[in-house]
Amino acid sequence: MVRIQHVSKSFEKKSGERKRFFEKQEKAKLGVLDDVTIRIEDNQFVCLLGKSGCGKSTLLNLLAGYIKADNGRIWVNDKEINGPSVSRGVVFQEHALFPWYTVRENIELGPKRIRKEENYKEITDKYLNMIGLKAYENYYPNQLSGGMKQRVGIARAFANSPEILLMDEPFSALDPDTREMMQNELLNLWKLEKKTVIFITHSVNEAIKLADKVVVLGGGHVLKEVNIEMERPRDKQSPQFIAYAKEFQRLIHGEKIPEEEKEVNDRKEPA
Amino acid sequence: MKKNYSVLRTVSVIGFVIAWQIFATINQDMEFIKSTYMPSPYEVLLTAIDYMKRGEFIPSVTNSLVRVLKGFSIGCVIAIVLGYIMAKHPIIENIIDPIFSVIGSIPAYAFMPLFIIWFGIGEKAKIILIVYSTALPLLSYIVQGIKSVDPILIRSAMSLGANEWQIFKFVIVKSAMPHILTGMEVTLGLTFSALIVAEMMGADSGLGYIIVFSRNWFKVADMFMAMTVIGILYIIMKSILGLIKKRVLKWQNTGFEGAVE
Repeated sequence: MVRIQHVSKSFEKKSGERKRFFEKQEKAKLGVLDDVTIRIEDNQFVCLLGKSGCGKSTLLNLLAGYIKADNGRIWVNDKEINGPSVSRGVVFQEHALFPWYTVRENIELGPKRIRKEENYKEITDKYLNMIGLKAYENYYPNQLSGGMKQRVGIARAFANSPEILLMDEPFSALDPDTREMMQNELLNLWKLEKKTVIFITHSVNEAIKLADKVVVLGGGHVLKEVNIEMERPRDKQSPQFIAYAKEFQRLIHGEKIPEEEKEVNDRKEPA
Repeated sequence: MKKNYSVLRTVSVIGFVIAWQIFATINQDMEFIKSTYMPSPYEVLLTAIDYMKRGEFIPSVTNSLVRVLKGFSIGCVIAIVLGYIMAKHPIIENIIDPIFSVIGSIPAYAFMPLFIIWFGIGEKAKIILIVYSTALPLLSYIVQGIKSVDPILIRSAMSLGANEWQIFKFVIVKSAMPHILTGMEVTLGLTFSALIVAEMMGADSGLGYIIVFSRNWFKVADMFMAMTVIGILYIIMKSILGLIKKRVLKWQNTGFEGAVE
C-alpha cells in the first residue's frame, strides 16, 4: 500500500533578472504540488492524469525518491521513502537504457551485477521471452526501434521484481499503433505478475484503458479520484468509456476541449 | 556501413617513403641539402641493421618503450582518480583547476632541468616528466567525460539498487569512456614528446639519447633511424589504443559517417 500524505513540493523559480548585490534576495517559489493526498492499494493499477505542468512528474520523482518533499510524507508498505530503492522500479519516458550494454546486459544488470542473484540467467531469459525480444538479446539499444527500447525498459524494471512499478509517460514518444500495442502488452505483463503500478500520462484514453483508478491532477492538487468500473479489454467506443473520457476532459481542461486533444482522440478511434 | 580506408592509408605511407627515397636520390646530385645530411630510407634501414648487429637496437627500443608505458599508465590512473574527485566535488575542482591552468601553460619540457636537479639523472626524473605530461592534459578530458554523464542514467541505476561504487563502475566510467579514450589518444603524442625530451637530457640509453649522441658526431642517418623508430612505436601504440577504443565503444555509432550514407 502506498500512502501519499499532504505532500507539497515547490521549486525555486529561475528568474532571468540579476539581483543587485545588497538587494535582499526574494526567492520566488514555484509551487508544483500542494497538499496532495493519495492512497493506493496493493496490486492496483493507478494512472496519474493531467496536462503538462500539473505536477505529475514531480509526484513520480518523489515516489521514486529522486527528490524530497517540502512537506508531507510518503509511505510504502509502512516504510517511509528515503531515497531511491530497488523495491520501486522506474520506467522512464526516454527509456533510459544503458547504451553501452546490450539488451540482455541491460535486463541482467539488476539481477546479476547489482543484486547478484544466482538464477539471473533464468530471470533474464524469462523476461526476454515475455517481451518477445529474445532474438535481439545481443543488440545495443541504439539499434532498436522506440517500442522495442521501451519494452526492454519495462523488462529491466520487472526483472528486479520491484513491489511497485513507477512509469513516467513511458509510451508518449511512440506512434499511435505501437502505443496501443504496448498498452496491451503492459496489461498482459501486469496480469501475469500483479504488482502496484503507478502510471503517469496526459492521455485521457490511455488512462481509462489501463487504470483501475485514475487520479486527475491539476494545478498541484488532486482534482478527482475515479475508479474505472469496466472489464478489460475496454472498448473505446463504448458509452461508458466515452462518458469517462468526457468527464476527465472537463476536469483537465475546463469546459472547452482544446482542438489538439480532440484531434488526437479522433485519430486514435478505429474507423 | 563504414568505409574502410585502411588500403588508402597504407598506400599513403608507402608513397611517402618512396617520395623520400626519390628526393634523397636526386639530392645526391643536386645537393639541396648536403648529401651526407640527407640519408635515404634505405640508408636508414642499413643503419638500423648495423645497430642490431652491434646489439644496441633492442635495448634502446626497450628502454624507451618501458619508460613510455610506465609513464603513460601511471599518468592515466592519476588523471582518472583526480578527474573523478574533481568532477564530483566542485569545490576541489575550483581549487585545483586554476592552479593547473597556470602551471599547465608552461611547456612540460621546461620542467625537465628542474626535475633533474630535484630527482637526479636517473629514471625517476624521466618517469615523473612523462607522467606529468600525460596526466595534466588528460585530466580535462576526464572531468568533461564524467560531467557529461546523463543524470537520468544515474537515476536509472539507483532505482535498480546500485550503490555508489556500482554507479561509478557501471554508469560513470562506461559513459565517460569515449571522452577518456579520445583524451588518451590525444595525450599519447605529448607522452612521446616528453619521453624524447627526458631522454635527450641526461640519459645514457634510449631513442632520444641516440638522437643527441648522434648529433654530436653528425651521424645524421642514426638520427633519422631513431626518429623513424619513435614514429613507428607511436603508431603501434596509437593503433593498440584505437583497437581498444573500437572494442570498448562498439555500442557507439556516431559521427558523420553514421549520419549519412
